[in-house]
Formats: sequence, structure tokens, C-alpha cells
Amino acid sequence: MATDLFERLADLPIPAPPPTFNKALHQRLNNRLLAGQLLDLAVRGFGFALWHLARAGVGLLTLTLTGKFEPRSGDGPRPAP
Amino acid sequence: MNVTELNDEELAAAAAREGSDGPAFVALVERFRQRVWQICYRLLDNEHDANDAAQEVFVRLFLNRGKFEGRSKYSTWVHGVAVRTCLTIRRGRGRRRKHENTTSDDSIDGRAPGRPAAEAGLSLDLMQMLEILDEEDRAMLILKYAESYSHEELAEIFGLSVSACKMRISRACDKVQKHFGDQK
Repeated sequence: MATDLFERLADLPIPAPPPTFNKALHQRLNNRLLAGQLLDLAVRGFGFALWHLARAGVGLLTLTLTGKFEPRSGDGPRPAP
Repeated sequence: MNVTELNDEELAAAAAREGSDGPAFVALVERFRQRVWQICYRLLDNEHDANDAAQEVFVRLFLNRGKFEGRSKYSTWVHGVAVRTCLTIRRGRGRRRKHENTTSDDSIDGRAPGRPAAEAGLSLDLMQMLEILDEEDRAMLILKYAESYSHEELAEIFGLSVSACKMRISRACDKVQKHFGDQK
């Protein structure tokens, strides 16, 4: 009984995909890519900002505690010799 | 390069090299649209969800286009993505339904809005009968009997051995038969 019964599943009519399928797909894909890129940008931008703020914070702490702060190369204009 | 002359695997490799949804990916969508739609419609039994799932399948294919390793046929990989996407949607739908505590009658009314009741008829009853199975078993039965997949293809799609696949299908059939045997 079971096999005959299940073979009737193939008789279920399948409608055609909606005519707007491709357009909707590309819209969805574009939205997903845009969201991904914005997220990527936010994460990287946040990481970059955090890194620089942390360095500034460490520098401030160092200066407070030791009275000295030696900027590493690339941290800004070097003092004239 | 004429994309229509490439086989599925070559087309997938060409799509993986594209920076965006270029001609190779568009050709892949054209080539697999009907099949993916069929799988989604069979498994979700609802035009709206099938449309949503089929689009999601192609978005996933695009985002993971570089991950196809060629260990199986590309078509099997695509069908696997389609099945997993549908199972995820059905599980989410099941959880929502449980949460909302709706009755099974509500779920039948909400199914297949575009399909006339008379046309749905017996097939709708069959689909209702399959609801007693767990999601994977239901999907396996539908793909096996409605879409004529072989045990080997099903085993690859579901990540099982062929014998395990045969056994699960046989047990699922027995379960439905036992549950509805007296009524049919």
C-alpha cells in the first residue's frame, strides 16, 4: 500500500516559478551583498578606531605614570633633530 | 566564452571566478531555477515559502560559489543546498507555529494559497499524512517518490550511507503505513 500511496506524490501539480523570480533574486542578492559590505566596513572601521584609541589611552597612561612618551615611528611628525 | 556550452561544473568554476553575479552565475540560475523551485515547492508545499526558499538557495550558492570542491556532481551539491535551506525554513516555521500554538487546521488553511482545494485534493491529504514524520524523513520520502531521486543521490544530499538512507525511507514508509493503515 505504502509504495503506491507515495508514488501518488508525483501527481501533485507544481506551479511555474513566478515571472519576477530573477528580478527579485538579483534584488535580494544585491541587498545581501550591500549588508555584508556595510557590516564588514563597520567591523573593520570599528576595529581600526578602537586600535588607535587604545594606543592613545596607553600613551596617556604612560605619560601620566612615567612623565615620558616616545611615539613610535609612523605615529605623527617626528621632532626636529 | 559561451556559457551555454559549459557543463555544470565548468560553469560553477566560471561563476566562482566572477567578482559579481556575471554571465556564468546568471546562466547557473537559469539552468537550475526550475529544479530548485520544484524541490522547494515540494518540500514547503506553499508558493510563497517556495519562492523565498528558492531565492535564498541561489543567494547561498552565490555567496559560497568558491566552496564547491567537486567531490560530487554540482547538481547534487545544489540540490543539497536547496534541501537544507527548505529544512531550515520548515524548522523555523514549526518553531513559530509551536510558539503561536496554532491548531493543525490553521496550518492546512494557510497552505498553498494559490492552489484550488479540488485540485489539491488527495495530494494535500498525502502531504498532511507526511507531517507525522520528522523533517528529514519527510524530505527524503518526497524527493524519492515525487522527484524520483535514487538512493545514492539521496545519500549524498543527506550525508548518509546508501544503506542508512534505504533504511530511513523504509522506516518512514512503515511509520506512515502504521499510523494511517486503518484509515486507508
